[in-house]
Amino acid sequence: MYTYDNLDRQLVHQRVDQFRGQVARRISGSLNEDEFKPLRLMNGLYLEMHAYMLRVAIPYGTLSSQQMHKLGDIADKYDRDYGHFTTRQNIQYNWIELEQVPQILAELATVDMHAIQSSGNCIRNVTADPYAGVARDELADPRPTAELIRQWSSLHPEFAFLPRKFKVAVSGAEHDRAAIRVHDIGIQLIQNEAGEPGYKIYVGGGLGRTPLVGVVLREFLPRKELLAYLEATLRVYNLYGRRDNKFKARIKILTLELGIDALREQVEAEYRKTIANAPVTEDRLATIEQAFLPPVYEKRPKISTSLNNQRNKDQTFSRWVENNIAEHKVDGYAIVNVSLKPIGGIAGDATSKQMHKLADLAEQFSLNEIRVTKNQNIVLPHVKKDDLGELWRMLYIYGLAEANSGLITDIISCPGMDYCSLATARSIPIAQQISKRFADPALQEKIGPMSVKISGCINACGHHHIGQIGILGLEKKGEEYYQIVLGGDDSLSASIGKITGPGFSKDEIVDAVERIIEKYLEQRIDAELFADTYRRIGASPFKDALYESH
Amino acid sequence: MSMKILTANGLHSGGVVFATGDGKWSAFITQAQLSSDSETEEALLAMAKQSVETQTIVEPFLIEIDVINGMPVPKRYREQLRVSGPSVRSDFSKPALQEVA
Amino acid sequence: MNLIKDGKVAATDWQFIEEGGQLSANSIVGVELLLNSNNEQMDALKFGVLIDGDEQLDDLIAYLTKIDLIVIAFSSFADGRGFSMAYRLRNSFGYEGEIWAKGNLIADQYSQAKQCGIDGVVIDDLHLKRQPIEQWQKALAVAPLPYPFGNQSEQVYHQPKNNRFT
Repeated sequence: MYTYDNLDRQLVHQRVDQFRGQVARRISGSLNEDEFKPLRLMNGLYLEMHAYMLRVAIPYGTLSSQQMHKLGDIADKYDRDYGHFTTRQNIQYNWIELEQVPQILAELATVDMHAIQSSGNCIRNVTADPYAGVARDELADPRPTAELIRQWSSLHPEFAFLPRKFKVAVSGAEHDRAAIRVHDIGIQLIQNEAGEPGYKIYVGGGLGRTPLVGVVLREFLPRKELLAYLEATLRVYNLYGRRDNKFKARIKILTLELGIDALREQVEAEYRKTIANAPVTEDRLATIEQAFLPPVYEKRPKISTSLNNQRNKDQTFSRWVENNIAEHKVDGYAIVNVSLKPIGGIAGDATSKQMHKLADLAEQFSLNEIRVTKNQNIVLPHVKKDDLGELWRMLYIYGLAEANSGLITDIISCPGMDYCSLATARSIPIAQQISKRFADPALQEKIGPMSVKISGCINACGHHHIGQIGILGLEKKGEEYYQIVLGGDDSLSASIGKITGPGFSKDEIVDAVERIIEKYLEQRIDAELFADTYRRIGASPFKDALYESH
Repeated sequence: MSMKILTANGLHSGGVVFATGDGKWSAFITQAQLSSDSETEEALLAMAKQSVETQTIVEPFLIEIDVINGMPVPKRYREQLRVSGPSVRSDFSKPALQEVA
Repeated sequence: MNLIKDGKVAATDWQFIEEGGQLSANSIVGVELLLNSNNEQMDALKFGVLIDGDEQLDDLIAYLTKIDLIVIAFSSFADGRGFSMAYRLRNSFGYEGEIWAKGNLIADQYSQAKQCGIDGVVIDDLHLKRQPIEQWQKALAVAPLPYPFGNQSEQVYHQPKNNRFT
């Protein structure tokens, strides 16, 4: 894991001082709300429905035990004993008061954490594969690149007042677990024919009102040119992105309106102009890579006899291993998916007790390291197979052992109208009901891998466009109203889901989802995934199921 | 003309507050000044503007209410949630509605 | 006007000229007037140009060595285009004259403005009253250092020297 050096720390502490001053000037009226708003957003502070909400950055979803302990402390001391892990690998606290924030930031700074640029019209938290460094299908670890971009983009003087937010994601594996195709810039680590390391750059992906899959900006970018290229892209966006309409201000709209060829021409022209003065990448990247060398693993046999024995004795445990463990690149080790989706619970929420326990467990079983996923779950990346039994028993006691990773009850749900002032409908209760409806473990496993994603408004923070079953909550005639989209895909072969037709009331939506699942089970061939069945048979059978007997 | 009250968020607390009509703000909806004509509305808005300028509140706006059992209840469900707290955490139920059980 | 420069409210001889005025000493004129003037006039005078869009930079390229001051109008402090425009002027076009931002930037933006190559900020009276010079000075003193990278000279992003790459 990357550890801060003096400059990193200086920067974070200066930022705390700066924000302390800004809060004081807001309270005195020296800054009005219009002026204060972008400043507080660039420190992750929102004004939501019930209180201020603070979004703390977890860069590329990686944190240490010590840092997780601190997150638990913050929840306990300043909030209501819980936090919410988000679809961009950050954490949100929902019950914050303005004058507490400088103190909270100061406390976070003691463990090298902050809320820098977790909101605002600037470059946001760079997200990455939560299995980075340990996945079997990994070609190269995306985190050094993510860390490099974080350093370059933090407090960048030219790009703090962009037309709109700017989101970057990095992937280094065969399977994209970072959804790079639906980001403003998506970066894939690749090699060219000569075996030289570099990047494939996608641009213009995004969800929200105008969901779009990103297109290729550069097929191959040599490694050392990355920052110069990003700088050129951001400059073009900063100058030419629309500022007349908040809903047309992302780079995806600029890409759409200019066309990718014209955009590329502008970026490449800008790039050629600035390359001489461009940020030097190579040395810095090499230094950062040293921080991400693999830890020292014990030599363990590929098969753990003790694990298999335990599995044979305990079906509940066995089921958890079956569903929640992903293959580790090192023999005898496992990637553990800790579900924050207990049946009927609130997706992505964790109590301060749970956070402290996760920190302890990471220290004991995972070489002090924890990951946060874009699916609002936690990963312990370095667990010995021999230890899985003991780990599971601890997780179980703390309500963290739901065996539903990647299954239908592993629902992604934004906070929705229960918390968010932008929302048009509640999302959490729908997620809870769906979770309960499909709770039976045998049924879940029969259905197999499934992603249900729920957004409480058109801003799509629940990523419903790229769920296999996506649900969008709207308001119709004063009532909550839910539209279904089907066939979304958040992998490299990304696709935006299509609306099935008229929406459903909150009392009908869960039945509707059940009808879709029934149709899928009826129509699928062998172990066909939902997305493949949908592609094969099309939308009509599902629409019939939804609307005919309705 | 429908009945309205004026609501905002407190600058310091971020919490939901209601205009009580005498230049003050309360977390209890029962203390909200009711308005059924445009003069009262304008007076409330002017007062809110003042409160914004004295760094007391942010983002004031009028909401439509019904009076039920003598208590103002917002017409829109989203405004009801603002008053009562998240529907999914009864342990966070706000006093504003508990007042009138 | 109030000009914030070098951490002070600076006295200045510069004046903004309304449309249809004349190119005269210490005048800041619009692009149209500039393009209607001839080289002799420009060479003889110290003058400035007010621009509000990146496309206008192209109009200026031919005259950059003659222009003593370029003022970039910011439609609002939240409109960050001026920062990229200043960067372009310094680094793509090698402009060495003075650059100001005109618009009610907030004091907190002073450091980043300077780093993009902007020398001064022009704000109105009410704004200066609400954000007195001490705040602008503080913004410089406590200004967060951005991560410095590589071979960027002072010219590019005006960086303090004590970074890890020089």
